[in-house]
Amino acid sequence: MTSPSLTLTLLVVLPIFSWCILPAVGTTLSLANLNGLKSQFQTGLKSTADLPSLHYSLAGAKELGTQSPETFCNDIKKLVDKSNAESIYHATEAAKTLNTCKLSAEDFRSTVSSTIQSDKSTTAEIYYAVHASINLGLSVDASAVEKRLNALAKTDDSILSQGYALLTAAQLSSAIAKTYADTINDLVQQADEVDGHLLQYEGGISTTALVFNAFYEVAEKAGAPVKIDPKQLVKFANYFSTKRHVATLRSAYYLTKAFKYLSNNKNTVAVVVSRLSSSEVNAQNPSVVVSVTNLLGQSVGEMTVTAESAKRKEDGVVVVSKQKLTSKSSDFTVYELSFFDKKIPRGFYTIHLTLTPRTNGDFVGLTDNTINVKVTSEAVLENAELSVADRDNAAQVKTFKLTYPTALSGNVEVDYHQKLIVKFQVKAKQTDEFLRVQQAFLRLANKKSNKEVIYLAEAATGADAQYKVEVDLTTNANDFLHQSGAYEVALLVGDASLQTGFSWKLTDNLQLSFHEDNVPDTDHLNLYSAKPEIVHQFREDEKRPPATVSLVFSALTALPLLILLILWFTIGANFSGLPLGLSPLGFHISHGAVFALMYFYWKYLDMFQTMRYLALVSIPLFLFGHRLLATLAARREKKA
Amino acid sequence: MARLSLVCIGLVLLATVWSSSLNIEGSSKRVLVLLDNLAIRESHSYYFKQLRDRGFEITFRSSDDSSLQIVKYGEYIYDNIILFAPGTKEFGGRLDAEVLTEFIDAGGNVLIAGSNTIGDAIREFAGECGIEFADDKNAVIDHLNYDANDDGQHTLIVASPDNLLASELITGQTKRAGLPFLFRGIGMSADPENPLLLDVLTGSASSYTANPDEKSLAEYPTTVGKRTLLISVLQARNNARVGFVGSLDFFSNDFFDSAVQSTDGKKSDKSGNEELAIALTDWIFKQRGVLRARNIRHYLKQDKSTPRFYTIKNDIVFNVQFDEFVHGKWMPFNGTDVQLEFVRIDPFVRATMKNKGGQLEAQFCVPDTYGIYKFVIDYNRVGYTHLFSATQVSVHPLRHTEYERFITSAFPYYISSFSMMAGAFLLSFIVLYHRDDTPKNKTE
Repeated sequence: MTSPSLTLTLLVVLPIFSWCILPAVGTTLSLANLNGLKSQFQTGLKSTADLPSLHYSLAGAKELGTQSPETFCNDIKKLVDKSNAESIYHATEAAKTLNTCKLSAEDFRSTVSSTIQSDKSTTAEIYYAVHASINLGLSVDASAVEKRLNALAKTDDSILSQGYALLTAAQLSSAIAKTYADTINDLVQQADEVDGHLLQYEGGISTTALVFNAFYEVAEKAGAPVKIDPKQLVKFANYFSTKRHVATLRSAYYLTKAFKYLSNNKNTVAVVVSRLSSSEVNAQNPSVVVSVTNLLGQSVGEMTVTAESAKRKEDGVVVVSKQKLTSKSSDFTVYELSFFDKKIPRGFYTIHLTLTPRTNGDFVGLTDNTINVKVTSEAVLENAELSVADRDNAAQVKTFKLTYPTALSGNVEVDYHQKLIVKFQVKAKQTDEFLRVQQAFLRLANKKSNKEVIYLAEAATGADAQYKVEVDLTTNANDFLHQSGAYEVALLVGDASLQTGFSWKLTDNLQLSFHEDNVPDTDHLNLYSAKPEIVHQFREDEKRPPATVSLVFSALTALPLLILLILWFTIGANFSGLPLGLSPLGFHISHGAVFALMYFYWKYLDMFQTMRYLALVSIPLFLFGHRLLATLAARREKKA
Repeated sequence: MARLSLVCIGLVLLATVWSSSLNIEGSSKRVLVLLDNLAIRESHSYYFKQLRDRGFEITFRSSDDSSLQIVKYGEYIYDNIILFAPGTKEFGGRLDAEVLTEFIDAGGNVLIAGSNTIGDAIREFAGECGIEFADDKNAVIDHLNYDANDDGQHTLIVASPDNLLASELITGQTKRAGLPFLFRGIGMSADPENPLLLDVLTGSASSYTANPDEKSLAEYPTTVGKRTLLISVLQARNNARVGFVGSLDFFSNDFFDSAVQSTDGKKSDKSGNEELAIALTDWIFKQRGVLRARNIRHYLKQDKSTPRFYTIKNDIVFNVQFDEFVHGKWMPFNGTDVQLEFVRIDPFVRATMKNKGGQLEAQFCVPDTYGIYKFVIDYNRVGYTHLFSATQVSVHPLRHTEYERFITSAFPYYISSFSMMAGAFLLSFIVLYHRDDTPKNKTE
């Protein structure tokens, strides 16, 4: 069972955490997540919308030792469907968990008996009806049921159906149960093996848990122990113990029952060895403490726990062999192995534990228990210094000594002719040896943009393991996008085998100046922000003279007419030649109308309208004008 | 003949396959879940239960199922795909990186979870999206922020909500709730040239991606510091969404339920994983952050009429109704940063629209340059689908009668012509009827 890759794994408390990363893990059982199941049942009881949930919650809570209040009896009576055998089964089972909840058998007699007799019932329905009848104290024709089950087995050979058949048989006579109990081994063979260490049935946890329970129920009725090969039993136990969380109440209920069967001293008990102490072993925490219990965390009696070996993961060096663990509690659940005083080097170790029971009992999971621990050492950062040197080594190197955890006060300036050098050592506090770590980063963060640049420090070969990182401001300028300015410098040192990691701010104010202009950061988030608004700039109107100037000139243009009138007046203009008659009147009206038409043309009319009106007006103008001139000419002739 | 018709049918089928596309809205809830093994269905049952409660129709398939297909008779039979199959080298059936890419091109959404091994098919598909996963066996390591349940390698890291993308649409209330996230898996890096990728969750400054079994780093780690991407999403130009989460365990029941105790002593009874996982899935499967525009209207401010064309310097009003998809319903959108552009090659006007209960409105004066314009709304915000709408209108110059009249500066011209006319009118009287009163002079 144990392959070298298994020793890689460290998970003990929660092996499921790693099942997808290291699929070969998990030969060691882990404790059931009882609190999770308990709270799942309590939550189920808070919202009792349907009878199955109520049944599983009540029964599950009872299995875990919580008696629910009798008030649920009313809910059961309210929710039960008299025409459905399944509903009746759930109601009777739920009522059984309460002390005083009695259901009247007469209400359900017809339904359950017809379900049992019906040719259409499935194995599940038969089971529901039979179990309900037993619960209600009704008599069941055992041989008829058996015949029906045999008939059904031929049409439906699914594992779930066979599980129900077993459960039904467990409700009938012990003779029938015995014949069914003999089939357990065949059913076990039908289980699928996953990753070599789990056994499950198609359909997942709910089917597997139900069938597994059926094994125990039918065997109990038959009065015989469950005949499952211990290797396979461990695999079932493994499967159940990896189920930290299940989705449905039904699965949770059957899982709880499976845990109880696997922890019951009457049956074969699965022993769980789990680490109680932290995975780290060091000077402060020198021993490994393990608990030896059943799946529910209860004592399994006195055991001799032996550490067969403790192997270092890297090179397979064995540091402990055949060492007995000391019992630390009166109920024999806690054992201790002192580990660190062996002065063993830091690293990951796998401890193999073997258990030998001192009491009578049937146990599985006694061998092949592994506990993973790592030995860590406390480290200090020493001989740290930050120096600024010229690229061509022309000038003196400026060196600043640093002590953890203080930061350098004051400015450090580095320009493009120079480079920044940081040196340090990691020393184990206990052994005074210099360590090599996985993470030795120098982090420079731009104080304005918070963009960071990280360089790896490299350790020199040799015992002193001097770490050194060099940042040349000319060759590394692209990393910084040529952005000159203030930077924060921090040293990050970490390793899985160090007790603590270090994040040491060396200086808050490192002034970098680069030769070229900075390259702006590309931030794609700009694409997602609002753009600046645009207000259209209209063309400006042409400049015009002020209104007063226009008005003055308007007045000036009116002046000649005024002067004309005044002059006429002064020289004594007269109209004494005005002949009487229609023609001068008509002429002047139509003459005036032509000018008025010009005004209207300007103000309202278009050219074509104006031409039309002008044509009309010009007729009287011509006729009257002609006549007027003729009159005037005749008069002048007469005078002469 | 028969062969020819077969070829024809083949061509028609091919054409329909190529042209098939998905019109994903919140109502599209068919989800295909591909799993490495069916045990994931149980170890991640809380997550799947939440999805089912949200009305998703989930189909679970093993990733190497040889009958796997996502297109049937030229139609996609799923709207969303969840790939919880990091270990799968090659998918079974008719599914590979190319088909997945076509699915994205058709508008489908994909959620991918990684672990410390990632199959070539997923790597190739991630590469198409601009995401590069670290090499196999690598893990995100953080020696300063790991959980108390860590196995010793410091790979079960505690990611701080401070490193979460500040977008409620994508990350829900998780940033505000402030619960830390548990993460165990692989780091990734995003193509810096790809503007469609968003970093949702990054590691802390002390995190990096490397092989935890290596004693010292042989070469520069794939990702270091805050550039260690833990979760990243992509919204393609067709609004298809793709999510990459480096950790399959991130969605597991254990991580959902687990308490978190970081190295710095901060404790929290519950991790933020469940909330973030659900918020992220909601977003990726378009249950949130989906916008639509309708009822586009534009008219003259003066008389509320929409003319055949606008004239320069008209005051006009533009109206549009924006809806957002919230919890399965279209609700009025209440963003106030929607901008309207009035574009003739370049935008001439860009105005922020006022929002009155989803009714967005902008008023502006048409520029004094005539031509063919477009009302353009190009709304692209983090977390929302990209909404682009363009409505074309033409803008004419002024007619000859529409220019200004009676200009003050021209008054001298008006008055001089009218005084001329008055003079001519009066002159006609003088010319015709004036008589000198000195007939004596004449006789003399």
